[in-house]
Amino acid sequence: MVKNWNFTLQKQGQTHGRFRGGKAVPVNGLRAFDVEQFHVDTFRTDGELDLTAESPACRVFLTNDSFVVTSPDTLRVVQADGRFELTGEGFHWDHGAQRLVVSNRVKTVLRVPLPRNDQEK
Amino acid sequence: MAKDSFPMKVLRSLAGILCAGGWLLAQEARAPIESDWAEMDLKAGAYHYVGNVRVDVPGLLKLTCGDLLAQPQKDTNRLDSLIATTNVVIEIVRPGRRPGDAPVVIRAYGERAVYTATNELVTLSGGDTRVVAPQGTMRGTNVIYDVATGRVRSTGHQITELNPELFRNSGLFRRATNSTAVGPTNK
Repeated sequence: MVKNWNFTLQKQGQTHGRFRGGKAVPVNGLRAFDVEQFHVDTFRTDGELDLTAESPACRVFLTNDSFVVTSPDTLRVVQADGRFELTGEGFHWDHGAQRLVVSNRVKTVLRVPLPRNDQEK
Repeated sequence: MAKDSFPMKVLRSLAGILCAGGWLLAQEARAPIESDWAEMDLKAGAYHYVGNVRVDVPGLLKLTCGDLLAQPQKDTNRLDSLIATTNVVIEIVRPGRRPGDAPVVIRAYGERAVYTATNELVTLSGGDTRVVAPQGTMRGTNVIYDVATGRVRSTGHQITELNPELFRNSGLFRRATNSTAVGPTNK
């Protein structure tokens, strides 16, 4: 078991994700961990921060060049510029396949442009 | 951010449906999408919301349905279609005709609503398909809303019920049906 860990996932010299968390317990060797206070920042191909995701408890599977996170617990994902936020309970996030499934009480909040009535000018 | 994420494109498209009525995009608002279950294919740009789906663009648009699928065009990340199915209710708020007039609320009901980005048409079908506006109710096999022109048309068997209030001051129905028409009198 490790505490207050952090880990950077890189592929071909490019940072794909920065992980950190509280307690991490290895399961199935060193390719999977049960993690508490999970936090990950993901990055776009241009190196800019893309998404931040948090879950109080989840299992992280490390694959050759990516990761999969799964949990029956809550998930909160926020886009770096704050224009997109998602919460839900129970999730499976395959970062390599860029696929996220949220199983319960999904709430996405988007910041969208509102129309202004032309007549009110 | 350099460009919109796909969910932003979906919401911009929904908000864009309202722009045909002379609205200009200005302020921003928080627009929640709620559902029981969701799958997001971030690579393909496809979003699928299932179960008690509710979309709320405050003051503009509310959509409720059982299933909402947003699909991108092939080989691009641009929105191709929005498909809402199962008990679809769309509530659109548009500005009043004159300055100071109250906003107009239009409600559309059906089992399936498809928005196609290439021709900017919303096609409503299935079940008791109808569009309810202050002027009246239009029912039809398919009700098609042209986002670009703001026109609504219906295909197949269709019934239009006009609100009698529209004719209150028109004089059209002021004359009693069986009364003698105005003409020469025998004096």
